[in-house]
Amino acid sequence: MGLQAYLTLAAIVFSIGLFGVITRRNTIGILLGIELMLNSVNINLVAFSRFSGEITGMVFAVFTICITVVEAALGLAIVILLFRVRRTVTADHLDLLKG
Amino acid sequence: MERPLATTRMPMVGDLTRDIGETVLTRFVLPFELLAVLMLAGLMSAIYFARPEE
Repeated sequence: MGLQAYLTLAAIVFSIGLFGVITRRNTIGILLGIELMLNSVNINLVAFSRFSGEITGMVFAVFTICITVVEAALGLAIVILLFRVRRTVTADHLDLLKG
Repeated sequence: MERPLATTRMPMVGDLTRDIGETVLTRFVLPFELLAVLMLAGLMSAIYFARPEE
């Protein structure tokens, strides 16, 4: 199984995440799509690192996992705040800045 | 110049986990520490925003 298989898997996972971000109305569903996209990036990093013999990609994947954790925590905190203020988590109803 | 993608994995000898840990703490120690500060700031912000109303 060559590198192409891992890259294809990462592309499919990224596409599923992107589809979820674009089509989901629930804010938490959008955050889940973002998580899928970030995981696909990790798959790419580890795959290239494994097939080239360099360890840098795996180290970078560890760093991106940490950043994903922080982004998810902040995103969920924002969702909680939004629910307290607007009593909804549907993205369609969050239009305060709309002209 | 064409560079086709690799089809075979290179042999990785040794303990990979040990190598990742040593690399993080020697060659990439500055990004590691900066990431620690970023995580601290981010998680403290998340706790502040999500704290219960008084």
